[in-house]
Amino acid sequence: MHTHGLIMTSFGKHRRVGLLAVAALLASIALAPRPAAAALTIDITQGNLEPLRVAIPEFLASTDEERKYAEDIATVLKNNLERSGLFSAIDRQAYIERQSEIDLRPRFPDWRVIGTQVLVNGRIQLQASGLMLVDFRVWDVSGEEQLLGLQLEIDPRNWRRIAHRVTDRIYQRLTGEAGYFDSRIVFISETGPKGARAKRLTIMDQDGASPSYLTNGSYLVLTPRYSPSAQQITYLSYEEGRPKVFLYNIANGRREALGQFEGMTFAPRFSPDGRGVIMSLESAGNSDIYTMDLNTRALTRLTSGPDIDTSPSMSPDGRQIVFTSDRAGDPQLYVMNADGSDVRRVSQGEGRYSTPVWSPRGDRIAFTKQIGGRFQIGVMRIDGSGEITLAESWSAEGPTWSPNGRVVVFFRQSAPNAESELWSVDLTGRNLRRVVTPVSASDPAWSPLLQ
Amino acid sequence: MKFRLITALTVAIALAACQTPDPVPTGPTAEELAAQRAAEEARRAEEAARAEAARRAAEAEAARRRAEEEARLAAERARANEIVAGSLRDFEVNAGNRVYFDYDQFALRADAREVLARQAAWLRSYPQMKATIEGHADERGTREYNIALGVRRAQAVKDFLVSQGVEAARLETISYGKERPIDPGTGEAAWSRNRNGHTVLVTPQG
Repeated sequence: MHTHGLIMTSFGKHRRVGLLAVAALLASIALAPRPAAAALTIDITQGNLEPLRVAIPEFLASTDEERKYAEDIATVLKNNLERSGLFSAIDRQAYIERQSEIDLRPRFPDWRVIGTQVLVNGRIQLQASGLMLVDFRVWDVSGEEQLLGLQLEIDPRNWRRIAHRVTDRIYQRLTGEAGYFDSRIVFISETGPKGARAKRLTIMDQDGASPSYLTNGSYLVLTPRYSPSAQQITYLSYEEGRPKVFLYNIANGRREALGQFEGMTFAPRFSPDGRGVIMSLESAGNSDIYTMDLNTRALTRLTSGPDIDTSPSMSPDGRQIVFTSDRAGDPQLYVMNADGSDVRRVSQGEGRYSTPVWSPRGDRIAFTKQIGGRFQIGVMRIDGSGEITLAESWSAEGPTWSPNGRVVVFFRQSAPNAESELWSVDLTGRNLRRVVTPVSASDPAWSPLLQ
Repeated sequence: MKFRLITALTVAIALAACQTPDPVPTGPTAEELAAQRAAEEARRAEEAARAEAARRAAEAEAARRRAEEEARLAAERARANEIVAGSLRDFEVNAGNRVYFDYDQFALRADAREVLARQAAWLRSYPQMKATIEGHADERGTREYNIALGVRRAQAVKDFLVSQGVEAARLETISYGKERPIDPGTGEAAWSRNRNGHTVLVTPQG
């Protein structure tokens, strides 16, 4: 789980290829269908921008054991890049150059002729210490320049995380923003008939690898959410009969109910500083929103009145809360200050809105919307303007943001009685694809980037 | 040549630029949406076919179960004088243990009040019995909202029973939201059964 002795060094030229200037220029023309000087075509009829063509030749290695790691890391890296929708990998059979030394510049014409735009090469060396030394280089084939050089020393057991971290660095170098690959997703695994579904708390890497069950399915669990440190999960559990908010400590597997109350507690989320949990507490049938200080376990009430107030989510600066309320007759989204003051409605369209989640970037709210007998996943600005639909289905629910706020994962059923599946979609509405899970899945929640 | 990669990189950067200083991610264009919809339609058709088979099986199963349940209750009623008074079966058959709600509502309908009046009379006759009232919702709502809706329904049942003279201390409430449908089917017939308040007797301890 942990990366030992991780060293990240950069070497080689780090000239930005004028990227910042280009980015600034593009800020104004980014939405134009196609820049006039573009040598590449962007086929919008595919619902996707033209991905960058990347070549990832076998990493250099001298033993069978090294070759195995080299291949596994390259595969995870390639899959990450392709799933992002920003890259497509060139078939290795097309490769012309076979490199034998990491320190020699690639023969760029050999890569250009097969259409390569980005080349990722590397070398794996198992050391006497037991650690693995990993060298990666990322090349701009047209510009014949090194974009990124990385040297990492790691425990070989963490080879997957290295692949994710390298993907994060490549993503960051090419898009100018933080990646999201070295992260996990907690969700609910579902098995059994509809009326008596067994539900288990499950975590896996963001790419679906290494799923692990945290509860055994003998009691109902729902709506897990990661803490900002990625060390804890808060969720709703029926373990003690009455539904209660629980905390699960990932390091030691201990779980505890968060207080004992007359009524139910549900719909928990951590505050962005990790010191509190915001949730609904029910009393005599009426649900209101409270925050609980995790040290003192003191509750502070934020809403009142006879209406359903639930699904609270705090802004990343901790100053505002978005939540669901039926105070206007049907479920809609409202924003209030963190002390409960200044409540204003933000959902303006037709339909029923619920499960709002504040983006980690702070400027968007993702939500579930029911309209015309179907469900949508959408995003809006925090004042409710600029609403767009990212996905639509017979049933869809529960959006969660990638750590960089670029991707939304949610769960959906394509038709009545179809399996419940996790899907991901970019904030732009592009790159809709399934996130494969071992069994039916629901209630995904993305972790922050791992430390 | 350099500008080619730069242009290529703009693909990624353009996405980033959508958000960085003044993030304005517009939705996909009309063509993109159309393509996405078309792809989605095709996939949906395929999945729908698969799901349709499952749905039919589930509906047949539900219909079978409903028929079975009704037959059982009819048989029970026919033998009503054989049922031990004060038993769980007596409560289920002669009072009725479920009441039903309209979509996104927790107001008690007239049919629910009739059932609950019988439940209250029964509970008054057997003062040692306690009950847990479960609130349930259909699948046309999100999880957390439905948990809140379910507990409102359970509370509406409890309030009515208390108004009819049942001690509040004998009645617990709990919500299962949409997690425990009694009818696995879809469509209004199934949903109308799944929106219910279920009075579950708790056998006295000791």
